[in-house]
Amino acid sequence: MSFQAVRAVFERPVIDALANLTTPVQCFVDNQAFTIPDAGGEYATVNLQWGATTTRVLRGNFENLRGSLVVECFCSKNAGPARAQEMITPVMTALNDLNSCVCDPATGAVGWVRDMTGPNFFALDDAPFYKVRLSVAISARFDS
Amino acid sequence: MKKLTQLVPDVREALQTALEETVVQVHRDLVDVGPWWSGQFATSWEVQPGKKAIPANIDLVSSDRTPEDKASAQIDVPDSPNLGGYTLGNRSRYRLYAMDVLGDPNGRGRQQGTAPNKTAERFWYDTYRNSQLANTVERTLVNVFRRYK
Repeated sequence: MSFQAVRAVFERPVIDALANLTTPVQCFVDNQAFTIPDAGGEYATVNLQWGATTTRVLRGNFENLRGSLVVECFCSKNAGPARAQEMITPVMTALNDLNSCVCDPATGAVGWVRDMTGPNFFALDDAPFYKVRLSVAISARFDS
Repeated sequence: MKKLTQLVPDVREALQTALEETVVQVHRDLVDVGPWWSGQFATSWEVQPGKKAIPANIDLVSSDRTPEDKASAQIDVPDSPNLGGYTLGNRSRYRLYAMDVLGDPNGRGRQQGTAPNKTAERFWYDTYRNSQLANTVERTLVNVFRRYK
């Protein structure tokens, strides 16, 4: 089992999707320090949490990685939802595309996305940003 | 061996029991993994029959500077006719902050689970819904139907 390899399966498509926008957006992952940009700036965060990671069967537990991926993108407030939708749409597409991928032979990790909740949009009270949030159920397998 | 005509009422009864026990178990899980400071949020979950919007209409009352001990929270499950299922939601006005969807605009509270004195893991609700809820539903269904042999 390698949580790091599996984590990359989900984080990499999100980072790439945001980097490939006409106006790229920098994306920060868990435990990565960053300075929130001033008003008018844009950024995104990705958080991955594991939930149940094994399933009990008659003769013990077998690995069955399941977790939650939360992607939050921030853009200018009071400018309408268009930019937020531009940011989150390729992220959703990239994550959905994981379901047709095969195991990465370099790492042995393969992941799938299940239900997506969102995107939900929020004009933040405490920051000059408009936020779009996507919550995704994920599952993964690691073939050593 | 039961006749087919007897099985249908049994299945309906089992399904209704399963719906009730599932919503109770999910509520128990949410209280278990969710935040507990004064206990107000954890005791503001509500079950409604069918698909309903649960209004956020309970204001935050002032609370102690330190969290109180977590206790069990009970929930009333009303009748749900015709296997209409249930909606479980939280009525506190600050539920989006408690569920880490938003950070508190005043710089207080959980700060999306990054506050050092948080009483639940970051994104606890997303993690539960995305990775544990299905297990709870499946386990409860299996347990109920085992009793209806």
